[in-house]
Amino acid sequence: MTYLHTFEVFRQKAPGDAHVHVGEVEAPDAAAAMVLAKEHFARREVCCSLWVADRSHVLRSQWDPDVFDAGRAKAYRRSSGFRAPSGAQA
Amino acid sequence: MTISAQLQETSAWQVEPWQDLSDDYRAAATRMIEFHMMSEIVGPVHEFRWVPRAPSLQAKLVFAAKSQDEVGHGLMLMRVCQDLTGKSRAEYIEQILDGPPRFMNIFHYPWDEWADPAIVAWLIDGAEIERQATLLRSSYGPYARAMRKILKEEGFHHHCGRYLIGQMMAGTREQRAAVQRGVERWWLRTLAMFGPRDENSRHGPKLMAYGLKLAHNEALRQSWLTKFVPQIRAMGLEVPDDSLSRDEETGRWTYSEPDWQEFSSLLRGGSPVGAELQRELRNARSVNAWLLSED
Amino acid sequence: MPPPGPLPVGSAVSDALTGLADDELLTGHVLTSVAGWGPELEINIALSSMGQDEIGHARRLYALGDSEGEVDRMVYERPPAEFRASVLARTYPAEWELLLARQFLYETAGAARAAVLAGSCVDDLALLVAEMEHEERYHLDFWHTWLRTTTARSAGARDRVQRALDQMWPLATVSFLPERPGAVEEALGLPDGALQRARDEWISATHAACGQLGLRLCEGTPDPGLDRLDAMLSEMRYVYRTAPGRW
Repeated sequence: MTYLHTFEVFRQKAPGDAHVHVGEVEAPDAAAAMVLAKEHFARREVCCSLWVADRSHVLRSQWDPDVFDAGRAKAYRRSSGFRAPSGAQA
Repeated sequence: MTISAQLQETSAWQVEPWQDLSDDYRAAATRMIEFHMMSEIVGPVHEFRWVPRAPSLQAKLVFAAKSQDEVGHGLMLMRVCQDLTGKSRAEYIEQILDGPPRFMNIFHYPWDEWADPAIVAWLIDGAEIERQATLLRSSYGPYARAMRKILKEEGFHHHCGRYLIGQMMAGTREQRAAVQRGVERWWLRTLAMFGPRDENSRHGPKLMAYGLKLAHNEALRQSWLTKFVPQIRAMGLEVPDDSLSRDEETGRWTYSEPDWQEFSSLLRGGSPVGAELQRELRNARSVNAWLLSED
Repeated sequence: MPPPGPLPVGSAVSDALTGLADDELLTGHVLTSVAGWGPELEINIALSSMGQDEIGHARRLYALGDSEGEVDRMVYERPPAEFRASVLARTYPAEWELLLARQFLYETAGAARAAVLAGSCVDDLALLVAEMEHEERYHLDFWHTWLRTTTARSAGARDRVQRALDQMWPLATVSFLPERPGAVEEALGLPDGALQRARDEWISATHAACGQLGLRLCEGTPDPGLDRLDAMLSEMRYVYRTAPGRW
């Protein structure tokens, strides 16, 4: 059982922005990971918030690109996919 | 062919470590990225000999920041390698400390004077900027992503080098002479660092085919000469190469041939300096290994 | 109570400021130097950052008591005997547990002192202390976190930390106060005895924090063998001396 866990690090640039994945640090626990993440990922970069999450808590999707594309192919989900009248009928 | 033309030829596909990569691709990517990683981890052994000795507070801050970045590069590349191969941090540390010395030629030479780290930052980190810019398009996704942060920092390192060299060139005759001697020491090593021309490059063709390498060694070397020969002269230094000349029509440089046997021998067999780097890393590790090593 | 304004030229205060600057310089030197050799890559990056912060603080503290152009001479040319660094700041540990103990005590003491100095009637100093606090906040979090994480590692790890505290605590307790606290308090418009009270509170708080982790703070004699000022200055000046004043 390894003492070091891998933590995924997410950085928020400014309030209102999404937290974006920037990489990983390894540490014995989340608090340790946080103080390490700050200097590795935010010593120069504009940042107002960091999240760290143990990699074992992150689930990665297993679907092929085809499965994702099937959702995008549905014309009825897009305004451009079907017509609607411009106004009320007289 | 220019570097930009070469990049246009490469198809823009990228893969991730969890995809079904061929053993051959994995092996090629592993070899290349582990080499880069080990370089970034042994390099700081040289650097941290000089961080405590920086001759002004400004230089101390600048050089500490630069050296810190290199440790960060080692960390990012370590993580890329770990996810690519499945080896743990502890296994990789052991491989670096006790395994074969597989890192850049420049770290096999002694860095015995302050001018050495300064010149390396100026000329060699400077050289890395262009090479690493091509790696932003690496077919191996995690490596391409790591390159974004690494590349930005190389730009800063080159600037640091110019600052530290500039300090010396604005100083005493002895300081200027120390820089000139340093450029003489590092000239052929720097030319060699780009690697042999295509026809003599063992792994180059395969790496190019896999999109792991996106520029030819000679193109990068030529580009560096174009950029840095004027810079060296502008700094008030002589370029220490009697064979150096540029064809006016083609823009192509001729230069003194590096010792390719020496280069090859360093990369395959190591050196006393290289062995010392690993020894210092082992000593440091033995003091503090209890904290984070696996039970 | 002296009027608010720029720093008065008074030797108790300038000695105290030089002492603080020297402490930050040596601590910055330790951290940026050992950053090549710490327990793990991530930790090494953080050590260097904190060391750079301290060197930045030293620069500003020297400048407060001295003119801009003289700051590097303070560092690179002043005779060792003229340094006013505390005995804690003169230590130069390579071992993680000793560095941890040194820094935990150094940072917590610094924060307790800074809380008093923030009330100084001297604007420049109060402002500097307030700005330094942004960086020191992170330092405190880092060392608190790693004291906890290190001690929790194993019984053996906790024993190492205990032995390290046994070495560093006697140094830390005699390093808290400036040489003439009363004179400093008067010159800076601080309440009488404020620094001594801060020291007492820091001692209690540190006992409590360590107690929670199963650690004790034991009285002891400061070990003069831990003084590495000469070695540190020798390192710092190695290149400088090849062209003094030309960097």
